[in-house]
Amino acid sequence: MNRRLLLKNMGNLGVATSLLPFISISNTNAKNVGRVVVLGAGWGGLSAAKTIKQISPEVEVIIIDKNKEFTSCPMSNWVIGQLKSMEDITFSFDNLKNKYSIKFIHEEAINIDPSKKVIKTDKQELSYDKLILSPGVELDYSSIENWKEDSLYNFPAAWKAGPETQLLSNKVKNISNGGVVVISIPLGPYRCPPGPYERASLIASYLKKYKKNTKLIILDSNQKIVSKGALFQEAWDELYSDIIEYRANSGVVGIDNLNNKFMTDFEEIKCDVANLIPSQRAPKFLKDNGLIDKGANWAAVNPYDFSSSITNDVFIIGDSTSQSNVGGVPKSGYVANSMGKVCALAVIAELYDVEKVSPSLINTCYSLVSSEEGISVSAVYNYNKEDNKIKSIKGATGLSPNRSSLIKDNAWDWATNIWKDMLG
Amino acid sequence: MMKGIMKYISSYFFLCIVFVSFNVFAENKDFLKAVDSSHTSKSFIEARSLSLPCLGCHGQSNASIPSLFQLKEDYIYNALIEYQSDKREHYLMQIISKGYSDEELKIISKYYSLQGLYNE
Repeated sequence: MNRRLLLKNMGNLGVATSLLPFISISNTNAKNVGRVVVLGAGWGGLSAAKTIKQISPEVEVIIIDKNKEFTSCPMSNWVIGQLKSMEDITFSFDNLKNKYSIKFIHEEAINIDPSKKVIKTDKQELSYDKLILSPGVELDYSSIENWKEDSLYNFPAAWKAGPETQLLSNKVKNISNGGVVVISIPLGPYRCPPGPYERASLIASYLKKYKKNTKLIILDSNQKIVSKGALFQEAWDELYSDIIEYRANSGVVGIDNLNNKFMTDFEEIKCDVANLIPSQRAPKFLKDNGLIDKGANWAAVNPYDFSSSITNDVFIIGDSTSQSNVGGVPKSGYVANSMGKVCALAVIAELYDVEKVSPSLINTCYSLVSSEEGISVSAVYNYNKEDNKIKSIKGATGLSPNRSSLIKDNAWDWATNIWKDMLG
Repeated sequence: MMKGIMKYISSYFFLCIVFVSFNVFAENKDFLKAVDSSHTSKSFIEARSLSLPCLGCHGQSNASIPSLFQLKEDYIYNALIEYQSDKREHYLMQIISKGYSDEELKIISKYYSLQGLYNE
């Protein structure tokens, strides 16, 4: 016997051994492995759906979302800053439908019956083996005095990319010389921690170039800039010292609809363009279906696999998850993408009865500080068994050392890649 | 005589494995492509778990962020090790690379070296 041949054959045996769990997957469950229903065609939901279909095409995947196309929240500040158009950040679901056989149902989810494993929409009932909920955030105007539904035109949030993004973009574009833009930032946690500061930077960058004697006032409910503080502050000091006025601890408590004013506890501010980004919480749908602990604002999940800590066979990912359950991961697009992948692998493991693996996540979050330059923050996360939380790994977290035009290029290329990762 | 039997058994095994592998390949060729024959201690799902998050930045395009597709395993691994010890310049990859053990970097490198085939 040739020793080398034996080793070679042993090597092949190794392949087979390593494949054993998957052999059983393929052979015994080639058909009808199960149905996964995903609620929400945003960053979390799409990442989960596509990952499942890539790995296990035999699993049926159905996505429920009212929207018939995808509009990206990340990069929507580029539209407000007049660098890109809505068309540049809006995409169809065609590849997911045609290449991955993911079905889309453009209806509104009404409720979940976990005992029957059924989710109801306004038009039909869908049974599921696993349900993934990625419904994003709900804007909470309840603490804003004088808020009415039609206040939205004068005080758009533009915090979910869509018509309000275009509205705010138009208002910025059409502001007169000498005008005042005011941005109101809620207390955290809210979606995209650096987002309001990037928006302020891009509006200031536009005003500096094209409008005379304009001002941008930032009314921040927080004590300081929530994310990338030093980098934003440095850019503002150097580029916009005569445009940006930053006021910490200055949350907006009310509005004056007739006179277009923001009210804080200290003052009233007249705005030519007002951007009211309100407080945020997980959508009411989750609360109504008992998926949020009493008194909490965000969904309760197990950080190991993003399964609901309340209901079986239900997973919750993305911005609506509770940071006090998950750990200190930011509510960012990249994190939602990573959570979607962790959840997809966990769902596959459950469907095929394979052991789950410890989750691994990345966040990289680019922000522009002007029409020319960007900054970034990054971290790698894994599961900490002792604390039962997702935690950033020591040493593997940090900021860009400064702002640069290369980081602006990276930001757009990142977006292009991750859109393709979810939709391509 | 003994040698002959061993050779026979060994060949039989080999054929079986080829047959099983072929079956799996036919049913779900993706699995086979992503699994390394010399590395059986970590499961396929674990390789995915570590590697999929990288795709947020590293896709198929080679604009200002390089693609990992078609790169050789040694090249990826050496680059990651050099980032980890700050010998190779790029602030962001110096941060990210410190999030993984040596073993994990090897798995990620292996996974991406197979990506050209996998086309994910």
